[in-house]
Amino acid sequence: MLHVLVIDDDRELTALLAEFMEPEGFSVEGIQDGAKGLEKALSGKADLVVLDVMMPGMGGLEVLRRLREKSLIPVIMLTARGEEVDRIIGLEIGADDYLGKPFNPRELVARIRAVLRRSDRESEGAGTGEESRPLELGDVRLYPGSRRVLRGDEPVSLTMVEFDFLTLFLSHAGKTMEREQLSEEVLGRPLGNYDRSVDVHVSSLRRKLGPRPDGVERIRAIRGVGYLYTE
Amino acid sequence: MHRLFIKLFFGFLAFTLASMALSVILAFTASKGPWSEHRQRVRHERQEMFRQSVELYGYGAAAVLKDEGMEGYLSYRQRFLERMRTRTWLLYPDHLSVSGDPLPEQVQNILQELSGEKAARVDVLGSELLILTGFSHREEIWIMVALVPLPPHAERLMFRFPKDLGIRFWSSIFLAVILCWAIARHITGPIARLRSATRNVAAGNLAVRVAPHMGNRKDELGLLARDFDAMTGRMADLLNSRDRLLRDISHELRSPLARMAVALELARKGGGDTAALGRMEMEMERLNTMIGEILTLARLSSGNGEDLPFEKINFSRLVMDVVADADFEAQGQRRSVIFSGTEEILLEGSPTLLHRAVENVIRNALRYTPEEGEVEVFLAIEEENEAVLRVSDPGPGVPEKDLPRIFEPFYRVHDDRDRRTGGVGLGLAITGQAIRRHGGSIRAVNHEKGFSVNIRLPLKKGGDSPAALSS
Repeated sequence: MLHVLVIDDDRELTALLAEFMEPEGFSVEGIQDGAKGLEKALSGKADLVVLDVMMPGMGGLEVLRRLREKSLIPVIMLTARGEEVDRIIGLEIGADDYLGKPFNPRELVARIRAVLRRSDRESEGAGTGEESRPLELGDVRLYPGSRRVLRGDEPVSLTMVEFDFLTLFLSHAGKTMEREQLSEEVLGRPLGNYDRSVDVHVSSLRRKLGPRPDGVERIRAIRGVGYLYTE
Repeated sequence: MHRLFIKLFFGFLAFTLASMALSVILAFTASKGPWSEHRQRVRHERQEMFRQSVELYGYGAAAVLKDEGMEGYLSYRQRFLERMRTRTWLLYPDHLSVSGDPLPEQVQNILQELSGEKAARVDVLGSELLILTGFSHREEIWIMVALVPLPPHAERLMFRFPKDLGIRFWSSIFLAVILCWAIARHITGPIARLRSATRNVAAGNLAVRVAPHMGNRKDELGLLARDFDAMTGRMADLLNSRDRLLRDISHELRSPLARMAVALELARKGGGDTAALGRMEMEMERLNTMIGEILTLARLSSGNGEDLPFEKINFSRLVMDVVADADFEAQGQRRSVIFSGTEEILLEGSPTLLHRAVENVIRNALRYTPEEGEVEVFLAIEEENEAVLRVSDPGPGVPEKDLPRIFEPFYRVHDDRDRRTGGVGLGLAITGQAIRRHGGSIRAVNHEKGFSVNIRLPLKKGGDSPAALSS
């Protein structure tokens, strides 16, 4: 049982999160106050901290700064403000990951697992314990277990949905994927009329990956049908 | 442009010149009033002085005539003529000259009117001054006439202008011009400042202040400047509180959304109706998008440039990137986006904002493009100082009366109620604000081939950009 500390002034949210995460193998402790949360996080009883940026009293960034003075405990930041600045500062102060509110709890769980695996590996000082073989194509490597993506040696930061799209593309490289199929398999819902969510996600995935070293675009749009990941 | 300045300047100048002319005319033509009386008195005194000197001379002449006879008198008169260049005649009361030589005719005429020892006259005759006086000496009555040569021009005593009139005239005109210019400037300068400040405020920059530039004027214009600043400050407060409210509301709305998102996944785990849950998830995403847009709009219109770092960017590159992405997405839906125009336009701006602005317009165009249709994106430089971006779609366009309103928040063409993309008419409002923050302008037009949005952006950061304004 992994112990997760959720520091967020939204009591109901922490309760819902606890309900969602316990079956997934986490014990969740919610704390509504920044200073108290900091104390708890420093007590060494938690495996990971989920921290809200906007809190009355001691704000999330301040808690993180003080926490990082003494502890390397993994931290995932949450924010409802959606300000780019928060994200950058949060990551600079030493957050391991960052999610905007509202978020899909499945994504939170996936990221918690990824962060924990990363920190485990780092603390063991071994990068070899890959739980499964990465998907590789050209200069892109995708590790399904730790949900990491590397382009060359550089990590690419993808959302959960983008990661799922990329997984599907890599395992069907060279084949045209229909938009309906992409929506069903990744978003888990049929494609609606004028539904552009698939296009938006694929578009941002394409932007984050950038073109191949030889200048060719990795993902091609097939007019009226869908998308194709080039081999 | 400077109509008021021109009016004031020429008004003052005309007034000044008119009063100068008037005073000249008054000074030289006054026939009444204290000035003329004074001059009359001066003349009178001078004449009396002349008369008395001639009378004294007459005593001398009469005495010499009595004591030394005609010879003595003539040499006395000769001496006087040589020393003073003054011709003189001593007359008996019956106007006969003692020496027997005749008097000039004019003097004769004047003598007709005078007689006895009360006779006295000082007058200008041609280029000579006639001084005539009667006197009594040793019980006898005499008349003395003297003709004193005048210095040249002296006969025009009434209208004597100084020789250096030209210099005086031009220097006073010059002084009048300078003074009138200064006065007009003093009044219109602050007004010009106020005007430019007003334009700034209209363009959405409320950080502008006028009073510090006014020195410490205590007059009505200085007070107006201070009132203007107070008003601007008050407006800024109101707008800021409005934006703060929007931000707080959005933030508060996101909390229940976050809870709903978790509850939704719990329902999925419990094996709920997946189609309905999917629908809910989609609507939640839309709500979230909307909140994000409201936040962006609030940030944009709150009018402080701090969160907007401007940098040098290749605008063409940026537009082409957006077009490439949009085209890529559109390809999947049997539509396309085509770029043409200048491929090297550099300007100063916020890349994230401009990216968003351009993307919103292109997405909007795609929304109304029928299948197999093309969105055309054209970019060029006009008049060497602004970039012009035109995004055209072959769609139905917008009712003419609604054209100016499509950049207002929450505006929707009345029958466009199907929210195809989760937008609620905030995209174009964000675009409008973003473009205005860059000192640019945006217009929508219908034409026979469809609908266009035209964006103009200054290449150089003009006086309207936030950073430049707050300095």
